[in-house]
Amino acid sequence: MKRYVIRRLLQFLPVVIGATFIIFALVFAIPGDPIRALSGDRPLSDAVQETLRERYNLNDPLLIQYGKYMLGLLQGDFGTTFSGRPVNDIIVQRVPVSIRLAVSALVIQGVIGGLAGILAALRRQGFVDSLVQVSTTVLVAIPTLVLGMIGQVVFGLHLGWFPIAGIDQGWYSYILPGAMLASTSMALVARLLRTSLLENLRADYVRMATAKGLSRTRVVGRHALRNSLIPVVTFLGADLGTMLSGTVIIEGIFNLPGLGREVFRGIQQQEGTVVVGIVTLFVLVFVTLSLVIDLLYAYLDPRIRYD
Amino acid sequence: MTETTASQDRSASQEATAGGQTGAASLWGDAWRELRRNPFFVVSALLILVLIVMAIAPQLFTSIDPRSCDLSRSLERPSADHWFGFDLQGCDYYSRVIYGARASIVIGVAVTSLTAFVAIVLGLIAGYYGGWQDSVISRFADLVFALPFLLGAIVFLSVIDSRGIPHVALALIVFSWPIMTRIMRSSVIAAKSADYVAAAKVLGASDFRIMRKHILPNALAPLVVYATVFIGLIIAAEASLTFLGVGLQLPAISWGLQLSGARTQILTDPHLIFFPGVFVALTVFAFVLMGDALRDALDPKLR
Repeated sequence: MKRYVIRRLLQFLPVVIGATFIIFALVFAIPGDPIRALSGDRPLSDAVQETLRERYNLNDPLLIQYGKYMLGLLQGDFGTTFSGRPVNDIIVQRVPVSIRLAVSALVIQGVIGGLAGILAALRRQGFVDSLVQVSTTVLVAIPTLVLGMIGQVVFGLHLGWFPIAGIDQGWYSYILPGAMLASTSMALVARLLRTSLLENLRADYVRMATAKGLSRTRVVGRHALRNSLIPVVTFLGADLGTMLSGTVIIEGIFNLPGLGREVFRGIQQQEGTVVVGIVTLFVLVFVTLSLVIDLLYAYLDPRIRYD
Repeated sequence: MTETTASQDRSASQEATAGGQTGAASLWGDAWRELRRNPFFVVSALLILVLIVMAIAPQLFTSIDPRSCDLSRSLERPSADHWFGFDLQGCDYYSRVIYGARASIVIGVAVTSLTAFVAIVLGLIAGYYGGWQDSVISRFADLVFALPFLLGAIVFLSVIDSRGIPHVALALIVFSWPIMTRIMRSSVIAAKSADYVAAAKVLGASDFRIMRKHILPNALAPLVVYATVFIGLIIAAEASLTFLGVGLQLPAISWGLQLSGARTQILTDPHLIFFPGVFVALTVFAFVLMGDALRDALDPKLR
């Protein structure tokens, strides 16, 4: 286990450096004037341009620029908006909303997706199973963007069950956006859990547990289910990137004042530094959580760590 | 990608009929016979066919010019004459939505074929040669993979002032090639160890010939399956990027632009969201469904 953890940690650093470098190079090193590109349609005065050039160290060679940028990142400096407000401020202020959205989405996809998968596997080819099969096939194929917008019209506007936008009603406001964000992953969790539970239910150790006279609940819950969760954990790791991108879209649609909406607004108002700062944060979160999930996976499945 | 698949299928079906007399059939021939019997494949293939025709010749579906608009009819509701109603500028929405297919299909097919080409080349090099070539390609793929492709594309596109189909396509290719490259690499490694590859080597075949004649045909199936689903993912990604404001720009006609334009009228005119939304969803659905059918047909383990 120890060797695996060390190896995985050693892979982590180059990936962080490389990924941030790619973002950095894209924004600050592409041909053309990055300051002009960042400012978009609104021309900046020469003095402002010079200050910004100084602030972003644009007069230095590329690698030095990147070094300074990384030093800033390490100290938690994600840049400054054109009006002089640190992007950090925005992040600190907006993070709670995004975390609540992520938690609602995870709970919904875990509980509903998990239950659907288990019920479908236990009653194979029964009514629930067919329902799960059909609904997941459809859900997987509908893009978050479309599902979010149509869900907003149907459940928010026509039926009036949930608020259409904003976070005025506390956790209740997060249910609809959370469900729309979770839908694709929820369907995939249900399918994956069904397949792996079906496989495990046929395994020798499950027959053994049944033969020992354990109750059905115990056999399924303690023996089969625990092993079946391993592929689900791997899937959640692979799915993180989609979830993070989905946050930008869902917060944009439902006007939730989180990090994703700041990216959306940054694009609309051509505040390039906000977009880049928050996307960099997302990438760091993504890489770190992938690491955590990989380690968790190795902890859950001994076959991985002795590879 | 769809075209190559189709032509492979066609040649495969000829093989299958020719081989039928001797009782032998290739993987592709087998798959084709399986696919023709699969209702999901037939439905998704028909849908995709309709969408491709719509992208090539939208005039077949509507005689109304999507750019000739009449402000006095702004936001009129759907009616018998104008099924989808009118948008804010008073353009016939049915014809706007029909013409919107082109941008999505072009981006989906172009990005997927170019990404698949990159993946085939890099996957063959990495998988066949191994060694430092593999290390360089795989580590670089890891780096790019650490950027979720939609987020990467957002950053890339947000620094470009005027964006069209080529820019959006390029951004999506730049950030999405690692997945297909990994798929290709692992199936090349699996195919490489086969006896017929060793035999070809002993007979003195060049590396290029071995890769082209022996490894590629046997390592392509997983890539074809993923590429089909990938077309759907890319179409969804394009619509999302355009919705966020970093994709296509007006006066282009695309479903993403229609959705983002409809966002401000959601309370009063939900039909503006409904029609392009349903078209995006149906298109993505068709490609994902076809990918599922292809996987079932091409993966012998599932039979």
